[in-house]
Amino acid sequence: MSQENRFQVNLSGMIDILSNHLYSHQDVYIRELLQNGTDAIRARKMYDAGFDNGEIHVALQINADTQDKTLVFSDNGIGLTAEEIAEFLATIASSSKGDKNFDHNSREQSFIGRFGIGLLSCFVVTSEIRLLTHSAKSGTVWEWCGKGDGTYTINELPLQARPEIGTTVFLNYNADISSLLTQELLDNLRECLFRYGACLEVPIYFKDKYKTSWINQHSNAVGSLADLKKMSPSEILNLGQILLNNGNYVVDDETASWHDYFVLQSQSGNTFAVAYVVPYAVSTHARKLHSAYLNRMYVSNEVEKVMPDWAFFTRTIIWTNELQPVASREAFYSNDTLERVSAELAASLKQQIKAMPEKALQRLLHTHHTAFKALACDDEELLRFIYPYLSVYTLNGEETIKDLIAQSDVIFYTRSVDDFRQIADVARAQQVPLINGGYVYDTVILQGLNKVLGRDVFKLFRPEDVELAFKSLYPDEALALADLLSQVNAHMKKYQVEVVLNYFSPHEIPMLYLSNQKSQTERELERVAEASNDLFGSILGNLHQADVPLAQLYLNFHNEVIQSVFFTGKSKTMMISVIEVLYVQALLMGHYPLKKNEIHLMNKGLLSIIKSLKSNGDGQTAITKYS
Amino acid sequence: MDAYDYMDQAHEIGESSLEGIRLIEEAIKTADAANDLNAGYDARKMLMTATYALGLPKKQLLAFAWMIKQYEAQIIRIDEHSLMWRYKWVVNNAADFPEISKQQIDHLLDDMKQKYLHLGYSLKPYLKLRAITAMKMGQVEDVTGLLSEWKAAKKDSMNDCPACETNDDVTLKFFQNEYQHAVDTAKPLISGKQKCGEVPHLTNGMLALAFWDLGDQEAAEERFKKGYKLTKNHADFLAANADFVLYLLASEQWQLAQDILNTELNVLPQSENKFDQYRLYAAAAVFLQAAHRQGLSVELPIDPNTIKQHAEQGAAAFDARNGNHYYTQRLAAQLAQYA
Repeated sequence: MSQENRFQVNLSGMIDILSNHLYSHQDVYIRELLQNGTDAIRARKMYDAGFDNGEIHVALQINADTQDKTLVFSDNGIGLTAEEIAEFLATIASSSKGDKNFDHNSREQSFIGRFGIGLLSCFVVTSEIRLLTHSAKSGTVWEWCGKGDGTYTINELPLQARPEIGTTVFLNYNADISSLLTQELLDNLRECLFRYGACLEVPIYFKDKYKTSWINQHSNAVGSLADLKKMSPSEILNLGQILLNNGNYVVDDETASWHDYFVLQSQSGNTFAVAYVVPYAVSTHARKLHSAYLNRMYVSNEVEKVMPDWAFFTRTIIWTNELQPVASREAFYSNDTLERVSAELAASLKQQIKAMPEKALQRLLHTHHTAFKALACDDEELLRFIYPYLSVYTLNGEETIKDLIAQSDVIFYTRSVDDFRQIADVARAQQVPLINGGYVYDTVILQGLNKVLGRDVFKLFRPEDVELAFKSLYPDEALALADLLSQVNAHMKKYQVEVVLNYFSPHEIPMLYLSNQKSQTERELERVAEASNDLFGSILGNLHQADVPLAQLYLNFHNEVIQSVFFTGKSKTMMISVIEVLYVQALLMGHYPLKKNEIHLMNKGLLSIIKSLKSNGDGQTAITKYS
Repeated sequence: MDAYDYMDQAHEIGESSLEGIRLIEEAIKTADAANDLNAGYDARKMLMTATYALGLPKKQLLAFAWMIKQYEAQIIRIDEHSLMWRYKWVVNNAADFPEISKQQIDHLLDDMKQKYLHLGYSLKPYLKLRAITAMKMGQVEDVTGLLSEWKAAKKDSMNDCPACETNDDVTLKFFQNEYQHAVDTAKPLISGKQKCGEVPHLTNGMLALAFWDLGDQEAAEERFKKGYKLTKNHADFLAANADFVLYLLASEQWQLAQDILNTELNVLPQSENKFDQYRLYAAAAVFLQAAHRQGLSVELPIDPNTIKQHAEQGAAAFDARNGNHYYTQRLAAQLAQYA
């Protein structure tokens, strides 16, 4: 016979899980209390259209004898009837605030809470929750006492026990909190009340030892985009300063010097934001410090995915009533709505950047040039808009792209800092404009700009493109050296390099090594293959590509060394030895790591030169000197 | 700038980007030119991590070839665990290069096994890689035994994350045409209980095809709709996108198939993975054949003959290396479906 049984649920264990593990902060009970209080006031407004003075009062009571501390949290919201208490306070996961699917078309959307488990978080700080509630609907006053072990009591009290409509929650703090210094606890409470309640429309009053203060007086004016648009720029900057500093006005704080911001909105207007521009360069890896409020309740100051990753140069405050919170309400679900809103806010931010006055735009690009270069790499439209203000490093130092384009039809660039260093003197001698493309994103930006400009303004430096700078040999010279050059090149092919004879300036530079990306990749493959073990060496050996274009070693016929190599009757072997040394020297100048055969070349070439000097009698001098 | 400056810059802008990789490669060049082994090792380690999910196995192989030599030379201090972890990545992609011979792949697997044994690691990752390599090499008859050996081996700290393990399990079952078994195994990936940086991205294409074959059209479409969002425009997922194209052909969603090919054929050159490239070319060739039969006029960024040639040459190159006709026959069978 089978029998249907029911699982036993350990309520205190569940409370522990929900209270201690669902939320990342222990003080989340403050949020839950603020949430319930605000929802109760919103519900009373819906119930009684004439009601317009919702308030929340928070105080700390201290027992003079025992020093026990009790949080007293009151609202003048709708209150609960006996039935509502039974349904909402005594049944876990039963929320008074509508459907758990958070249908934003339903009329309950203005309520913050929805899982019915929030009150349990209070058990993190107390072993008993006592609640007094006067219902606007029934006019009755009830006392509900719930304990962490899952038991509770409920009693009806006379009206004078709580004459005003509303609810008061008493949390008698556990010993670990009660033992804190009173001031410390008060400061902590004030901070939490601000963090969670800063944007709530309901005034939150906090009574400490000396006075009652209105916690969210200067931060709760924004409930809609229209509210935000009514504010002056200085009010918006002040709002950012207050919210991003968690209620503290700090005159010398970094936010005091902020002066640029963008007001953003999703197409529906159900999400809007202020993106404050950080006035100093920040890493793309900087923590994305965007804050979000859902139905005016604080969600997190580190929300992810709502703003695009590239908005890291802003600190943004987001208000939404369309995104769906996760159960802990400390983040949003990654769903289609989040994707849409994020894309719309991103588009809104781009649009705002484009609408910036020139001076502000220049300031923004100057401060966050790396960020904007990164952005422009993937966004042709943005690049078209910002390129005049971007700057690059040239032979003359830092110059704007706008100035460079105004001065030259064709501007050369190098792929790396090392290439730039090698070519700089040659380019300078011939007054060829040259950009050091080795800096972050510059090469990609310049390539993208050719597309934007519709013509090839920026060209990767290749000697054959710079006819004035690199002149071929005279025909008779070329003819006389053709056979020799072909023998030299047949020999040098094993190093994947081709020797080219040219005249170029400055005359002091004997040679120049220029490679292309494919030849560099191939060179790197060979270098690693010989630096690895047999197994990997043989595997890499199989990955060699055929038909990789050779790198070029330009020898300068204006240079005395080169002339002496070719015109002083040296043997072919000697010539090749010198060229090999020049080749290795060019690699070293370009900071290229050497392959084994190149290190060997250098030694062999030098030895051969020394031997030749000795045979000419020069060796005798050296020996005499040291003997 | 020294090597670490370049590494810092790469980190600043995000190393897993083309520009970040360029900077790390500058760091390697600078370190090697200065003969700074520690910096050279750190930069290559960074490069391997940065290129992990970017479809750049050649860069990974190059970096690892240098690192393993340093490990064997014992000149600098090396974190063996992290190196052996990366060995899995290299072996996993070895069969994706048709230029690497069967014998070299065997030696590579054996070298990994010996090093794992020497360091006292479980051979579970090695056994999985043997199964995956056999699958990639079309050694159909070997896969079942290797799959069982892998599943039976003991886990240790070298084991991949649960999502990757499930993905590999699903992949092997899908390869064996055990579609029901594959979708059952994939449940934690479908529900979202298991996920990581590459999973279920790699799995959804296969699952769409498996569900379609099993007659669950709704589930197949769901895999496609959820899956392509994760793999779109990403060189690491060409093979998964090839599966989506095949699914869209099966479900006669011609326009979508063409849109995906238009996007992904432009992404293809960013990948160094010749197997993934072959998979996309093959899917594109099948698409062209199917579209031709339907009398549809199609427009792709690459000439149809070139696509077909790439697909056929890819299949032939892998078969020549593998010593069988698996890919040639498979491509022919896929094309014959729409002849």
